[in-house]
Amino acid sequence: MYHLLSVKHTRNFVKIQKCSNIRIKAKKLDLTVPKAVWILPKSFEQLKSLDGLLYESDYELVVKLFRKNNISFSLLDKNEITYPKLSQHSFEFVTLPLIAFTIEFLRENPDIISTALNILYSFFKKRLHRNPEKEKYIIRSTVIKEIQNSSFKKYEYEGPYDGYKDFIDLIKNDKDDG
Amino acid sequence: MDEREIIKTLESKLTYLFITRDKKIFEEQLSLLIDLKDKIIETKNEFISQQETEANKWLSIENICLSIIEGLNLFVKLKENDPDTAWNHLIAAQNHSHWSNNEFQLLGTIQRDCVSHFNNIELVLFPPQTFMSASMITEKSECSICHKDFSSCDHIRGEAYMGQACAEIATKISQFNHAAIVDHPDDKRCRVTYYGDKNPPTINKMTLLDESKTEQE
Repeated sequence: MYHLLSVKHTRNFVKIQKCSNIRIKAKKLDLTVPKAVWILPKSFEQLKSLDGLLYESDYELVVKLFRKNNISFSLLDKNEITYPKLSQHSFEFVTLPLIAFTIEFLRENPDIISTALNILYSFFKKRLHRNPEKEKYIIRSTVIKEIQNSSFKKYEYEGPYDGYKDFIDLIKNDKDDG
Repeated sequence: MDEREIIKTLESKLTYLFITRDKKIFEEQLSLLIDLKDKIIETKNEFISQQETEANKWLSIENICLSIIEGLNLFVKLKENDPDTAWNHLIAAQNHSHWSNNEFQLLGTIQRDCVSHFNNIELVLFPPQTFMSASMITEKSECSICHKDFSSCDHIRGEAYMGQACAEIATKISQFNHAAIVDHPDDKRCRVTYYGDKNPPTINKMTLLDESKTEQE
């Protein structure tokens, strides 16, 4: 289903849909689901093997901001932080990595989604508020939330940085956990 | 060096950033501004490793000075009938002024004035361009400040640290992925420069001259 966040920005949208079980995917790939914010590579749900995996171009930004703000996170392998990434040289898009929140971690840290994503929003706000071309910056972000054991929901956002705040609120206030 | 005084001096240089000024005037101003830039860097270096905010402020002033230098070079190249090189100077001028404006707010309006002046020059003096964006798979990259692996350090691309701007240096590119035509590229110097039905194309997108004919003549 599609939600238009605001009439001010015609390009921004949020897409919410059911998501395949990333725990099963992790098991197939011999990965351990961490008790932390999980930063995942591009198209993780479709990944057949770990060969040729790619992170989004701005995954390091998320890693650095979470580390600086003491957000507990893990990449595919908790001991590895350097992965191949798809570097793009367009001013138009900031493509954040897939960020997943598991139910155990959410139970222990009920505010983690809004805390973690607001760190990203604050960064964009600080960087862009004086930029006369800020409307040209489009943020792309995908968040996966485990709503019950092994049932997942995916939230996708594409739009200007100031609409990202509404996206965070939408995930936070989405009580449709069935 | 006094911040107010230097900004006032830089503001006074904006009056030279017009195509009607004589080439000799541009060259004189360039020489003066290159000396001024060296003094700004000296002041910045005095603050490096002591006061980060001051070091970053002087880096921001240095970038405004560089944007005006690039602006003067742009007009010199236009006077020399070299619009392709002029374009590169314009983009450098835009990049320096944008970076300064985003990173550290200086006194007065010089940063905003430079940003809007160079944006307007692009629209008024140059034809619309077709921009390109290259996409590649980067296996490894390092930080321009600490030279560590880029994902392991805490420096963020584009931010200022003790008078230095952080950049990511790709050290291992494993594969070219694609090239795309985009409206807003990261680097406006990546653009279509020639077109036409010859291979390689020979019509210059800035001048519309078929350079194969010029060479034959």
